[in-house]
Amino acid sequence: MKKLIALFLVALTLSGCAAIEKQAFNREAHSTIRKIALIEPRPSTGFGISVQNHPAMHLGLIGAVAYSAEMTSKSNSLDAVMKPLNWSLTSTLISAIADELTKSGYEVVRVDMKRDSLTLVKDYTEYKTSPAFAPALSADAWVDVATRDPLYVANGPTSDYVPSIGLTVRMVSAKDQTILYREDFFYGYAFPTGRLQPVLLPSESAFRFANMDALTADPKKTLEGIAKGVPLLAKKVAEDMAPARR
Amino acid sequence: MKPLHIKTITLICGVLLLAGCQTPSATIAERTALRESTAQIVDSFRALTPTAIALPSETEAHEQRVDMLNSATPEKVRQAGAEPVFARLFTLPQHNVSYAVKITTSVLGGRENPAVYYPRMIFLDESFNVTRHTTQRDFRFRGSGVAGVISATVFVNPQNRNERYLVVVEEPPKDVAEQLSLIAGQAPPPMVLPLPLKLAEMMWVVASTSNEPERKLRAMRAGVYDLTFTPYKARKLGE
Repeated sequence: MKKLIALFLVALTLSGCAAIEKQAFNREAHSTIRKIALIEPRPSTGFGISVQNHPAMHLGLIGAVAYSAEMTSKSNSLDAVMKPLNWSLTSTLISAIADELTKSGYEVVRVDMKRDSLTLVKDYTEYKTSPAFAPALSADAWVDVATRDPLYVANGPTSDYVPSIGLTVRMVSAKDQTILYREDFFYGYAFPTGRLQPVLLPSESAFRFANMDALTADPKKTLEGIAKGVPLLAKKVAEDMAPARR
Repeated sequence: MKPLHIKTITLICGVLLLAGCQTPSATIAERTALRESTAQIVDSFRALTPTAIALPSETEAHEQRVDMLNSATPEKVRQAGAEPVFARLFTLPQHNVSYAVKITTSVLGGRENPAVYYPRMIFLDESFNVTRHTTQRDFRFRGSGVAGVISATVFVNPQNRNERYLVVVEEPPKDVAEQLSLIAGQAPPPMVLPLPLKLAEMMWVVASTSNEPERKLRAMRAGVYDLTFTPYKARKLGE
């Protein structure tokens, strides 16, 4: 069920893209930022499957129910073979981003609010009084990372499965919560995105799987297809937010 | 009026279908070649014809589209040890506010021959000395439209007040690595048909979303780009 909610949120995110605004980081204007609090996303819960342009989606409510049942079944099959590898997208991704930001010259503190939402923080007012947020109060800026479960996405019922990670990153000033940076990233499958205009990072052709049998035959290779996106994403995020030369 | 014969209709449909399949890459190549042959070649950035840019206000952006493929007066600048390149000179806004300069170029050539003009933004002081320029690291490939765009943003802050000009030239070809195009992951939208034709719609969806081969994105010598000059003011969360 959680996977279905995640997939629904992906669709919701994409459909609402008209209102999304980007913000490039003006590093010279914010050269005083030295310490960053990295706010951890809700932990990923497993792996999912999505088949785009599915014919069932053109058959009204009955088609939608059939589609949901098929995606749930396929997601569960994939998740069952991946679970023994004990790999978490969120913990790997946050560690990679923290490392890259540290390398670029920031002092980084990680803040785990144990949150339940897949989206960015809308209002930090409640957070400020939480003991878990205390390390962030001494930082110059707060970096919020939102992601969803890693997916394998097929462009249609007869298409290959391609890895997919979706990521949104935002940096706000700790002082007054002005938005200093905001960007969206897709690794692997390129969803049609309207005005979202996410940064696209390609996955290698070695990680295209013809069907569910191929996708679940070698879980280590299937995982590698997703895991290879993590350092690519972390590097781009850190490059975008790199501080001005001191 | 004489009714159209079925063969005539078939022929017209065939011609239209074939015309629709032709990618514009040949046209782009032809247009680029034409501009190459008609371009005025100058010795330095200083000799280029400037286009003045002014910000409408402290909050409004200025947008400028440059269509090199249809320019009536293309200019090229000579460079040491290499072929002359297309170049366009802009006079930067003289304003009290910081502003962002964003350049965006679209991938052209359709799904068959995706190619993009890879620009380099060079900032110059009043003596036409280079103060800074973009590199490939500054550009991001973004999902947009059929085949995507590349874009980069540079801020002009008070410490860059000495900068007076912006020149846009082609990124040196030797540095432009071929990139894996992501358009293979996307397919045409499903055909919209009246409700009784659901079966046909399903068949179209399955046929139109089959795997496409991976294609390389090539660099073009000329293209179309958009420049946006936007006053910089960070918004507060919730504003």
